[in-house]
Amino acid sequence: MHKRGSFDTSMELGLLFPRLFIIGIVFIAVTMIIDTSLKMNTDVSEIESYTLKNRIFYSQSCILWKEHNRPIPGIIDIEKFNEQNLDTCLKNTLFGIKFTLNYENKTKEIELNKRIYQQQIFCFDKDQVYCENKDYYILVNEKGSIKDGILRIEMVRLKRDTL
Amino acid sequence: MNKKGVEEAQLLLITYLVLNVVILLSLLYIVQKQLDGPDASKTFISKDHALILDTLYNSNGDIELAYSSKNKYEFIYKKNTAMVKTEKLTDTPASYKYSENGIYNPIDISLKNYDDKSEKSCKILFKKTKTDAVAIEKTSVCNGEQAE
Repeated sequence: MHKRGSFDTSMELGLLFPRLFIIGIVFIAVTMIIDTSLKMNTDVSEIESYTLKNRIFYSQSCILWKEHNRPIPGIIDIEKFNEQNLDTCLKNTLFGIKFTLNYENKTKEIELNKRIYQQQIFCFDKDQVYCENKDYYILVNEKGSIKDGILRIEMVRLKRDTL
Repeated sequence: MNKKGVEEAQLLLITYLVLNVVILLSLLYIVQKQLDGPDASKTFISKDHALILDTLYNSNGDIELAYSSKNKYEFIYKKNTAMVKTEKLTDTPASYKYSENGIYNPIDISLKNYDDKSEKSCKILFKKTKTDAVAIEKTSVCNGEQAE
Protein backbone atom coordinates (compact mmCIF):
# COMPACT_ATOMS: atom_id res chain seq x y z
CA MET A 1 0.00 0.00 0.00
CA HIS A 2 1.26 3.46 -0.84
CA LYS A 3 2.04 5.98 1.78
CA ARG A 4 0.32 9.30 1.14
CA GLY A 5 2.74 11.57 -0.77
CA SER A 6 5.15 8.77 -1.52
CA PHE A 7 6.86 8.42 -4.90
CA ASP A 8 6.77 5.06 -6.63
CA THR A 9 9.89 5.12 -8.82
CA SER A 10 9.22 1.87 -10.64
CA MET A 11 5.72 3.04 -11.60
CA GLU A 12 7.07 6.43 -12.71
CA LEU A 13 9.73 4.75 -14.84
CA GLY A 14 7.09 2.49 -16.34
CA LEU A 15 5.02 5.55 -17.27
CA LEU A 16 8.00 7.36 -18.81
CA PHE A 17 7.68 5.77 -22.24
CA PRO A 18 3.91 6.27 -22.66
CA ARG A 19 4.43 9.87 -21.50
CA LEU A 20 7.26 10.41 -24.00
CA PHE A 21 5.04 8.96 -26.74
CA ILE A 22 2.19 11.35 -25.86
CA ILE A 23 4.61 14.28 -25.65
CA GLY A 24 5.91 13.36 -29.13
CA ILE A 25 2.39 13.32 -30.57
CA VAL A 26 1.53 16.65 -28.91
CA PHE A 27 4.80 18.15 -30.20
CA ILE A 28 4.06 17.07 -33.80
CA ALA A 29 0.46 18.36 -33.52
CA VAL A 30 1.57 21.76 -32.14
CA THR A 31 4.26 22.04 -34.84
CA MET A 32 1.69 21.34 -37.56
CA ILE A 33 -0.74 23.89 -36.09
CA ILE A 34 1.99 26.55 -35.93
CA ASP A 35 3.11 25.69 -39.46
CA THR A 36 -0.36 26.09 -40.97
CA SER A 37 -1.39 29.11 -38.93
CA LEU A 38 1.74 31.03 -39.90
CA LYS A 39 1.11 30.52 -43.61
CA MET A 40 -1.14 33.55 -43.79
CA ASN A 41 -2.88 34.48 -46.97
CA THR A 42 -2.50 38.13 -47.84
CA ASP A 43 -5.43 39.19 -49.94
CA VAL A 44 -4.26 41.91 -52.32
CA SER A 45 -7.39 42.04 -54.52
CA GLU A 46 -8.26 45.57 -53.38
CA ILE A 47 -4.76 46.95 -54.09
CA GLU A 48 -4.73 45.12 -57.41
CA SER A 49 -8.07 46.58 -58.48
CA TYR A 50 -6.84 50.05 -57.49
CA THR A 51 -3.68 49.56 -59.58
CA LEU A 52 -5.64 48.38 -62.61
CA LYS A 53 -8.05 51.31 -62.33
CA ASN A 54 -5.03 53.63 -62.30
CA ARG A 55 -4.02 52.08 -65.62
CA ILE A 56 -7.47 52.82 -67.03
CA PHE A 57 -7.43 56.41 -65.80
CA TYR A 58 -3.79 57.38 -66.35
CA SER A 59 -2.14 55.15 -68.97
CA GLN A 60 -1.85 56.55 -72.47
CA SER A 61 -2.42 53.09 -73.88
CA CYS A 62 -5.98 52.84 -72.55
CA ILE A 63 -8.94 55.12 -73.09
CA LEU A 64 -7.57 58.57 -72.30
CA TRP A 65 -7.92 61.43 -74.70
CA LYS A 66 -4.58 62.74 -75.95
CA GLU A 67 -3.91 66.38 -76.70
CA HIS A 68 -0.75 66.94 -78.77
CA ASN A 69 0.24 63.37 -77.94
CA ARG A 70 -0.09 64.07 -74.18
CA PRO A 71 -2.69 61.98 -72.32
CA ILE A 72 -5.14 64.12 -70.30
CA PRO A 73 -6.24 62.32 -67.11
CA GLY A 74 -9.98 62.50 -66.49
CA ILE A 75 -11.00 62.87 -70.13
CA ILE A 76 -12.08 59.74 -71.98
CA ASP A 77 -11.78 59.53 -75.75
CA ILE A 78 -15.10 57.97 -76.77
CA GLU A 79 -13.51 56.45 -79.87
CA LYS A 80 -11.02 54.57 -77.70
CA PHE A 81 -13.69 53.36 -75.32
CA ASN A 82 -14.18 49.93 -76.88
CA GLU A 83 -13.69 46.30 -75.88
CA GLN A 84 -10.58 45.76 -78.01
CA ASN A 85 -8.75 48.72 -76.50
CA LEU A 86 -9.61 47.85 -72.93
CA ASP A 87 -8.75 44.20 -73.52
CA THR A 88 -5.31 45.17 -74.83
CA CYS A 89 -4.77 47.61 -71.99
CA LEU A 90 -5.71 45.08 -69.29
CA LYS A 91 -4.35 42.00 -71.04
CA ASN A 92 -4.73 38.71 -69.15
CA THR A 93 -6.32 40.32 -66.12
CA LEU A 94 -7.98 37.94 -63.69
CA PHE A 95 -10.72 40.45 -62.97
CA GLY A 96 -14.09 40.30 -64.65
CA ILE A 97 -14.87 43.95 -65.35
CA LYS A 98 -17.97 45.76 -66.52
CA PHE A 99 -17.63 49.36 -67.67
CA THR A 100 -20.82 51.42 -67.95
CA LEU A 101 -20.35 54.88 -69.42
CA ASN A 102 -23.25 57.30 -69.12
CA TYR A 103 -23.11 60.67 -70.85
CA GLU A 104 -25.70 62.85 -72.55
CA ASN A 105 -28.47 60.27 -72.01
CA LYS A 106 -26.36 57.68 -73.81
CA THR A 107 -25.13 54.46 -72.25
CA LYS A 108 -22.21 52.36 -73.44
CA GLU A 109 -21.44 49.04 -71.75
CA ILE A 110 -18.32 46.91 -72.11
CA GLU A 111 -17.58 43.64 -70.35
CA LEU A 112 -14.12 42.07 -70.01
CA ASN A 113 -13.73 38.43 -68.91
CA LYS A 114 -17.47 37.81 -68.96
CA ARG A 115 -17.19 34.39 -67.31
CA ILE A 116 -15.51 35.85 -64.26
CA TYR A 117 -17.84 38.85 -64.18
CA GLN A 118 -20.83 36.49 -64.12
CA GLN A 119 -19.59 35.21 -60.75
CA GLN A 120 -20.84 38.47 -59.23
CA ILE A 121 -23.96 36.59 -58.15
CA PHE A 122 -21.70 35.13 -55.44
CA CYS A 123 -20.58 38.53 -54.19
CA PHE A 124 -22.32 37.84 -50.87
CA ASP A 125 -19.53 35.33 -50.13
CA LYS A 126 -16.70 37.72 -49.38
CA ASP A 127 -14.29 34.89 -48.58
CA GLN A 128 -14.53 33.51 -52.11
CA VAL A 129 -15.18 36.49 -54.36
CA TYR A 130 -13.86 40.04 -54.37
CA CYS A 131 -16.38 42.56 -55.68
CA GLU A 132 -16.17 46.26 -56.21
CA ASN A 133 -18.57 48.74 -57.71
CA LYS A 134 -17.71 52.42 -58.04
CA ASP A 135 -18.83 55.46 -60.02
CA TYR A 136 -16.32 57.99 -61.32
CA TYR A 137 -17.18 61.47 -62.53
CA ILE A 138 -15.29 61.94 -65.80
CA LEU A 139 -15.33 64.01 -68.95
CA VAL A 140 -15.99 62.51 -72.37
CA ASN A 141 -14.43 63.81 -75.55
CA GLU A 142 -16.77 63.11 -78.45
CA LYS A 143 -15.70 64.51 -81.79
CA GLY A 144 -13.81 67.33 -80.13
CA SER A 145 -16.52 68.46 -77.70
CA ILE A 146 -16.21 67.78 -73.98
CA LYS A 147 -19.23 66.36 -72.13
CA ASP A 148 -19.93 65.40 -68.52
CA GLY A 149 -20.22 61.72 -67.82
CA ILE A 150 -20.18 59.00 -65.20
CA LEU A 151 -18.11 55.84 -65.61
CA ARG A 152 -19.21 52.91 -63.45
CA ILE A 153 -16.56 50.22 -63.00
CA GLU A 154 -17.70 46.89 -61.56
CA MET A 155 -14.86 44.48 -60.79
CA VAL A 156 -15.13 40.84 -59.77
CA ARG A 157 -12.32 38.46 -58.92
CA LEU A 158 -12.34 34.92 -57.62
CA LYS A 159 -10.23 34.79 -54.49
CA ARG A 160 -9.16 31.18 -54.96
CA ASP A 161 -6.79 32.47 -57.66
CA THR A 162 -5.08 34.58 -55.06
CA LEU A 163 -4.30 31.70 -52.73
CA MET B 1 11.04 5.74 0.77
CA ASN B 2 14.74 5.04 1.06
CA LYS B 3 17.59 7.35 0.00
CA LYS B 4 18.03 5.57 -3.35
CA GLY B 5 14.37 6.09 -4.12
CA VAL B 6 14.67 9.80 -3.43
CA GLU B 7 17.61 10.09 -5.82
CA GLU B 8 15.72 8.26 -8.57
CA ALA B 9 12.68 10.47 -8.11
CA GLN B 10 14.81 13.60 -8.34
CA LEU B 11 16.54 12.29 -11.46
CA LEU B 12 13.19 11.58 -13.06
CA LEU B 13 11.89 15.06 -12.25
CA ILE B 14 15.05 16.64 -13.65
CA THR B 15 14.62 14.54 -16.82
CA TYR B 16 11.06 15.86 -17.23
CA LEU B 17 12.26 19.42 -16.65
CA VAL B 18 15.01 19.10 -19.27
CA LEU B 19 12.51 17.53 -21.68
CA ASN B 20 10.12 20.46 -21.18
CA VAL B 21 12.88 22.99 -21.85
CA VAL B 22 13.96 21.09 -24.99
CA ILE B 23 10.39 21.01 -26.32
CA LEU B 24 9.82 24.70 -25.58
CA LEU B 25 13.07 25.71 -27.29
CA SER B 26 12.27 23.51 -30.31
CA LEU B 27 8.87 25.14 -30.69
CA LEU B 28 10.36 28.62 -30.42
CA TYR B 29 12.97 27.68 -33.04
CA ILE B 30 10.27 26.39 -35.40
CA VAL B 31 8.17 29.56 -34.98
CA GLN B 32 11.18 31.81 -35.57
CA LYS B 33 12.24 29.82 -38.62
CA GLN B 34 8.73 30.04 -40.06
CA LEU B 35 8.55 33.80 -39.49
CA ASP B 36 12.05 34.68 -40.70
CA GLY B 37 12.87 32.08 -43.30
CA PRO B 38 12.68 32.48 -47.06
CA ASP B 39 9.68 30.15 -47.26
CA ALA B 40 7.57 32.46 -45.11
CA SER B 41 8.05 35.50 -47.35
CA LYS B 42 8.00 34.00 -50.83
CA THR B 43 4.19 34.14 -51.22
CA PHE B 44 4.17 37.75 -50.12
CA ILE B 45 7.10 38.60 -52.43
CA SER B 46 5.42 36.98 -55.46
CA LYS B 47 2.35 39.17 -54.86
CA ASP B 48 4.53 42.21 -54.33
CA HIS B 49 6.35 41.62 -57.62
CA ALA B 50 3.09 41.07 -59.50
CA LEU B 51 1.77 44.38 -58.13
CA ILE B 52 5.02 46.13 -59.08
CA LEU B 53 4.66 44.86 -62.65
CA ASP B 54 1.00 45.98 -62.71
CA THR B 55 2.20 49.42 -61.65
CA LEU B 56 5.05 49.56 -64.20
CA TYR B 57 2.59 48.79 -66.97
CA ASN B 58 0.47 51.77 -65.80
CA SER B 59 3.26 54.25 -66.12
CA ASN B 60 3.46 56.72 -68.99
CA GLY B 61 7.00 57.77 -68.13
CA ASP B 62 10.23 56.07 -67.12
CA ILE B 63 10.43 54.12 -63.88
CA GLU B 64 13.25 52.35 -62.07
CA LEU B 65 12.60 50.44 -58.88
CA ALA B 66 15.21 48.52 -56.89
CA TYR B 67 13.81 45.69 -54.79
CA SER B 68 15.88 44.26 -51.99
CA SER B 69 15.40 41.06 -50.08
CA LYS B 70 17.49 39.60 -47.29
CA ASN B 71 16.89 36.03 -48.48
CA LYS B 72 18.08 34.23 -51.60
CA TYR B 73 15.42 33.72 -54.24
CA GLU B 74 15.01 32.78 -57.85
CA PHE B 75 12.45 34.90 -59.72
CA ILE B 76 10.64 33.69 -62.82
CA TYR B 77 8.36 35.98 -64.83
CA LYS B 78 6.52 34.06 -67.51
CA LYS B 79 3.01 34.03 -69.01
CA ASN B 80 1.88 36.98 -66.86
CA THR B 81 2.87 35.15 -63.68
CA ALA B 82 5.48 36.21 -61.13
CA MET B 83 7.02 33.15 -59.48
CA VAL B 84 9.37 33.09 -56.50
CA LYS B 85 11.47 30.08 -55.48
CA THR B 86 13.94 29.62 -52.67
CA GLU B 87 17.38 28.21 -53.42
CA LYS B 88 16.25 24.71 -52.45
CA LEU B 89 16.08 22.54 -55.55
CA THR B 90 12.85 20.83 -54.53
CA ASP B 91 11.06 24.04 -53.59
CA THR B 92 7.59 24.67 -55.01
CA PRO B 93 7.43 28.25 -56.27
CA ALA B 94 4.90 30.74 -54.95
CA SER B 95 3.17 32.50 -57.83
CA TYR B 96 0.81 35.37 -58.52
CA LYS B 97 -0.58 36.67 -61.78
CA TYR B 98 -0.21 40.21 -63.04
CA SER B 99 -2.02 41.96 -65.83
CA GLU B 100 0.05 42.83 -68.87
CA ASN B 101 -0.34 45.87 -71.07
CA GLY B 102 -0.80 44.67 -74.65
CA ILE B 103 1.21 47.49 -76.21
CA TYR B 104 4.42 46.17 -74.62
CA ASN B 105 6.15 42.86 -75.30
CA PRO B 106 5.37 40.22 -72.66
CA ILE B 107 8.10 39.52 -70.09
CA ASP B 108 9.85 36.14 -70.15
CA ILE B 109 12.72 36.39 -67.67
CA SER B 110 14.24 34.12 -65.06
CA LEU B 111 16.88 35.42 -62.66
CA LYS B 112 18.39 34.87 -59.23
CA ASN B 113 19.11 37.58 -56.67
CA TYR B 114 22.32 35.79 -55.68
CA ASP B 115 25.45 34.23 -57.13
CA ASP B 116 25.92 30.55 -56.52
CA LYS B 117 29.33 31.20 -54.94
CA SER B 118 28.26 34.12 -52.75
CA GLU B 119 26.24 34.27 -49.56
CA LYS B 120 24.87 37.72 -50.38
CA SER B 121 21.49 38.48 -51.89
CA CYS B 122 21.37 41.38 -54.34
CA LYS B 123 18.76 43.94 -55.31
CA ILE B 124 16.50 43.33 -58.29
CA LEU B 125 15.94 46.28 -60.61
CA PHE B 126 12.59 46.78 -62.33
CA LYS B 127 12.90 49.17 -65.24
CA LYS B 128 10.48 50.66 -67.71
CA THR B 129 11.13 53.30 -70.30
CA LYS B 130 8.63 55.10 -72.51
CA THR B 131 9.45 53.08 -75.57
CA ASP B 132 10.91 49.80 -74.36
CA ALA B 133 9.25 46.89 -72.65
CA VAL B 134 9.61 46.27 -68.94
CA ALA B 135 13.06 44.94 -68.03
CA ILE B 136 14.08 43.14 -64.84
CA GLU B 137 17.71 42.54 -63.90
CA LYS B 138 19.98 41.73 -60.96
CA THR B 139 22.00 44.69 -59.70
CA SER B 140 25.48 44.66 -58.20
CA VAL B 141 24.15 46.14 -54.95
CA CYS B 142 24.11 43.26 -52.52
CA ASN B 143 22.97 43.25 -48.88
CA GLY B 144 23.17 47.05 -48.64
CA GLU B 145 26.77 47.20 -49.91
CA GLN B 146 27.86 48.71 -53.17
CA ALA B 147 29.84 46.18 -55.16
CA GLU B 148 33.01 47.23 -56.94
